[in-house]
Amino acid sequence: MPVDFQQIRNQAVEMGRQAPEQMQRSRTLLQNALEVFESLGDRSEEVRERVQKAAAEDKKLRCAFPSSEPILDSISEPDCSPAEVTLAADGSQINPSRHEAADFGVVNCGALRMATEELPREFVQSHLLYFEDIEGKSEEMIALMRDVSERKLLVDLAKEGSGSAVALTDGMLDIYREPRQDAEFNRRFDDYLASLRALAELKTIVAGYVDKPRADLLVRMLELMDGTEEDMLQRARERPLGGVTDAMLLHGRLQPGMRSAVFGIESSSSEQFNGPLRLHFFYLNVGFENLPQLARVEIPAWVVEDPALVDTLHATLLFQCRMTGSVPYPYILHRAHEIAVVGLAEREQIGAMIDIELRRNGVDPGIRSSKQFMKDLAGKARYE
Amino acid sequence: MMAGIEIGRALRSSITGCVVGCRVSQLDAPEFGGMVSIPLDDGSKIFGLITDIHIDDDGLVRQLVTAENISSEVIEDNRLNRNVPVEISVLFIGFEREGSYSHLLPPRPPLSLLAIYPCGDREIGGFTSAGRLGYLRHILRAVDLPVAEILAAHLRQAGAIQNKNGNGDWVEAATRELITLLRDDYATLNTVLGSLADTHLYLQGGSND
Repeated sequence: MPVDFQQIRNQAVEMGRQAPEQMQRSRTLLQNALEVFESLGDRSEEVRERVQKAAAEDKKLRCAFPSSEPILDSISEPDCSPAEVTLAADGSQINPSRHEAADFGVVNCGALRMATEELPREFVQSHLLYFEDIEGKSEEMIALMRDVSERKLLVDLAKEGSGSAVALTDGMLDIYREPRQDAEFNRRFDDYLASLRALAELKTIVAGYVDKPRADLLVRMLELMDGTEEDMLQRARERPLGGVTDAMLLHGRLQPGMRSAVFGIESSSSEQFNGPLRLHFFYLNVGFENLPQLARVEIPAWVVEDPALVDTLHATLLFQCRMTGSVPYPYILHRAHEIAVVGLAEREQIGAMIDIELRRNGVDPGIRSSKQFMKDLAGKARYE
Repeated sequence: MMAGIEIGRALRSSITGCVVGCRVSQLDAPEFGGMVSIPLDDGSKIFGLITDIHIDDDGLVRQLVTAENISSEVIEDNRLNRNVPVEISVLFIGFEREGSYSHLLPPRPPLSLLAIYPCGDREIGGFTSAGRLGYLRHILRAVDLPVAEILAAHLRQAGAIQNKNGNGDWVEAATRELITLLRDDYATLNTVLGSLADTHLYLQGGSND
């Protein structure tokens, strides 16, 4: 049965009615946030200390802290050239489903390598997961396997070349997945970190690109600073600036092509992402005059420590985003996604291939569940 | 023996024609109105004329054209790495079996993924001089196609080869045949003759081999 549009319409009308009030509230909070933000101009050390104290008391705290760059800095597009080589990898997976005839999964990674005056090259690594690969594995674990494969592919490609290189992935470098205390999770997470270390050794500038970010890491930092140190943890819990995002905060401060200062990320994963891998980020306006579009870019500490590398990354991201014209997004990331994505038709083909092989070896592949059978009659979904 | 490099493979077909898929890198060989052949497994060949070359866009291409400058890397990536769909439409005009040419439609359509090749001088010369130009009726029947332009391109290609083969009056004979076939369709005849006049058929040479 389709959506009851009459019911939804009534609720949409109510949503529209409340919107101006929400917007006004949001504006007031944003104004407060901006006032706090602008008051931090020369207080980087004080902010760092307070965040450290808060993190020591609240292990779940996740917020920004200032780097060596002044908090309020807005940095123009650098004069340097984009990296000589740009790499991007993306992954897609088929999660095992007990409703299908044969139990299998697939992790598919796609990558593109672009270098000055060279034909861009595509790469695909497809891994069929079966038997013990998938036994008891959650979708989260399959997703982690995909993330690890993406980074390993980037390491392989980074080994090929010389000269400045940038390796991009879509989304954060940090991994938010459950369960985090699982032995296998830890093993695979170690693999993930090892790949990031390998990229660091190869001097390949690694970055996670977050489009349309909703993060409030800076805002949470402001909440710690907007009052006394004694009640900062209470403010962190109550979220007096809740609803304001970092992008809203920086919206009017970054002209097209400009980036914010680099900030560090204080979070529960700081223990794992430590030393040269300690996570940092900056915001970058990849948009146009009167049409800002902010992206959040995560980078490890070893990149932050060399301003020339940050400049190269800054220039490379703008160069990539300009390739896609009126909708700025790194061309290479879109292409990596295009290469990696697994469609429903491919899933069906893989299922048929497995079915044949099982039968050839005298094994009954089983049948789809009745539920799946009925769902397949109704429509189709994409596995991405 | 094939006259040239493969230009693509059949995607879908019927008795009257087929659509061929090809990579952008293969797009140098086929020309509008050019004669092509599809060798079948039984040793026979189907002949046709290219009536359309169609390059589809997709979402990314549509987006990329909004960029101020499109780098050569992006252009090459889209042309050579991505599945930019290039489709060539072919109108069948006859076939060859056991060394003899027929201007009838083929007995069955080519199966999908069969390779398509541009015809060489020997095939074009042999096919177009066999019989009494009966294959022209297949072209004239294709009312949805730019018939006059296809005929002009075909007569230009085949006329050059016939001329080289010492058959200098072939173009004139073909033109007379067209006038006969179109005697009851004055509008089409006028368009066809106009196109033929634009191609300067009696002034060109060249070779496909």
